[in-house]
Amino acid sequence: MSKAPGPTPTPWHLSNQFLGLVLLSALIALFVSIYTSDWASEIQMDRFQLGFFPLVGVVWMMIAALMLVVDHARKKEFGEIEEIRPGSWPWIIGLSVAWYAYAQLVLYLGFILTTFLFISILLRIGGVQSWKTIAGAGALCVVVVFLLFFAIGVDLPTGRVWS
Amino acid sequence: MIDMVALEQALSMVFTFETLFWMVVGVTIGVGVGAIPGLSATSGVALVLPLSFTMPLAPALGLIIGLYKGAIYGGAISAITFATPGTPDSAPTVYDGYKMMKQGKGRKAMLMALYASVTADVVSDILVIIIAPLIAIVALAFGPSERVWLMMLAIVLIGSLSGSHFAKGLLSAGIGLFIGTIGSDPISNVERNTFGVWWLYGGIGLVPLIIGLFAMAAMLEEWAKHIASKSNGKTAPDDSEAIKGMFGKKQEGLTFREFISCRKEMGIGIAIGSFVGMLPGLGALVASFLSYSVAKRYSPEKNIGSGRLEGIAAAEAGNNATVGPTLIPLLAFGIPGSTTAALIGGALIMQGATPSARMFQVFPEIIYALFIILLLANFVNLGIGRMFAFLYARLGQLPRPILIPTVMLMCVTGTYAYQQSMYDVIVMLFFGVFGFGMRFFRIPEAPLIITFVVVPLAEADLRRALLINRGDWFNALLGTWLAVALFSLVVLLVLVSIKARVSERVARLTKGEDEQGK
Repeated sequence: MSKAPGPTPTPWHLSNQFLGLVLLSALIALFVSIYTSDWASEIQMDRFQLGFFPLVGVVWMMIAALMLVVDHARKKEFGEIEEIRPGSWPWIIGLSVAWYAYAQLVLYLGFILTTFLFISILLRIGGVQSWKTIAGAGALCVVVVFLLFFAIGVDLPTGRVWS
Repeated sequence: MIDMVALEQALSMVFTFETLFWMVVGVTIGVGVGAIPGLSATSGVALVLPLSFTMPLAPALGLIIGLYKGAIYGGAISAITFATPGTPDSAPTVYDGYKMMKQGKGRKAMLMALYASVTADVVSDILVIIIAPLIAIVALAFGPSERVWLMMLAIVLIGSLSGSHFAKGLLSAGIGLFIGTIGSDPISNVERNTFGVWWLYGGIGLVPLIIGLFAMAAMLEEWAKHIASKSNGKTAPDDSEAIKGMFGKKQEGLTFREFISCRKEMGIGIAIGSFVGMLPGLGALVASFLSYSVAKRYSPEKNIGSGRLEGIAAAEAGNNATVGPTLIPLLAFGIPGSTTAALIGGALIMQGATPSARMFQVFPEIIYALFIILLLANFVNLGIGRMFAFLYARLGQLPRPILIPTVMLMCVTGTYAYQQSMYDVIVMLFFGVFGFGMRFFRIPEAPLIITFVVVPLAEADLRRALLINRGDWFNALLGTWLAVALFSLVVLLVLVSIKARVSERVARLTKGEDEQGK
């Protein structure tokens, strides 16, 4: 009788072991950088070194990274490769940068205009086709958030350009 | 002994239009947050936290606790309607709830989830009201040395009990510890670990960290999945007809006899949920799965898992029973037992009331107000859940391209409103991407938050103990019998945890050998 094929082994570069090694290398660099910094060796009034607790944190993470390299799950896939593709990362970072740009623009153009424009663009990128829906959802979003913050007494930026 | 003056003050704080209004708003938003897959109780509380800072204490607590309770129940709505748990802790509700939905008994299932949630909430809140003051009396005897061990105990519990991959849980806790040291030294107030960035001198704020890690990261994950499904050409199934059917007059509701027949399973849920809720690091997810599996085991004749009310009762009672008890470690020791408890603690600190056993002596009116709000929010939850479940079921169908930008906007605006600081927005966005990375690499977030909150407190207590004992480490750590007892408990827990992991490993190896031998 022929043997049923087993599950395909995870490529090493997608395994927990690989992740652990990458983390370990980064953490060693972090440890060295903190250990050799000027502030880490400063002695405080209670005779504690300023770098003691940050270094405890780094060592703790190094132990965890080492465990990833050697433990029972070392050959397993490190993440949600199926549901979230590695190709999503540029999208995610781009979106976060866009939100930062939005937060800066709000100060200049004000909450209402910037938010309406920004939400409309995101809706379009997200796949909403109808311009009516985009305009309606964008306006509703602005009104709801504005009223919510107004109700609790928070003033949202009106825009330096207009004042 | 009840302080009648404080009780009177608490009643006058709670029974105002403002407090009741924000409690209703909290529950209304909470059930909605719970019903929307992708958003959790923690994300919801994180989002409203900056709003609560501008309010007086009682309305702020009404908003946050109402939202928390509503969200834990709300998860059941989409679990029953679409077999997609709105919050992870409602996952066991899917097993029976969705089968009942398919059998045309969705209305019955939904009502059972609501009544079991509210019953468990009320009973566990009464337990909190009885237990928390008693533990606080014990906690008053704790000095810095004992508090250090108590916090170690919390960290060990988190490490040994939470998460399926221990190394990743440990990594998360280490990250929390490291982030907690950014800013200034807690004793001498000297700058450390700021990477040369001046605005990090004040440390990483809890609000931008939590909004980033939970709300923003959740939305980035949803966005990534949305992009992936768009490129796959997959569309969500249309369940509109099923929802309409569930709320039509044709479907029968839940009878009192049916509700009472689930008392054993609800009792299991309440007992497990209340106990699990008190332990740091576990929370509603573990409670609901544990309650469901224990109920299934002890009621084999009821065939739980085949579309039974008893399964829904156990799971929903289990997750909601954690809501009140999760506040016990926070109120008695100042140690948050869960992420949401850390947020509630943050809200109390911002209002000038640092959670600790002393709070029972210094601010009894706040403690009473909190207890009254805990109880009152259950009845608001019952009313809102009963009246608007249909609308909430629709909310689960809200298109992702509309939902995601709206929640992201709330994240950015809420973080900015917190201190009107653009640096907070930068920190929040950074932790949004970081949190997305944690989700991608399946690293749990809860240990990070708990160590982030606990470790700076532990550091301050350890150094205070050393100062009191003139640098003598032995006396600072093990100078009293209570400290020795707590230390022994920590060691015992570590040994039990190691033994359990070794046994697990041996069992796995033996199983592997057996399979190879076949």
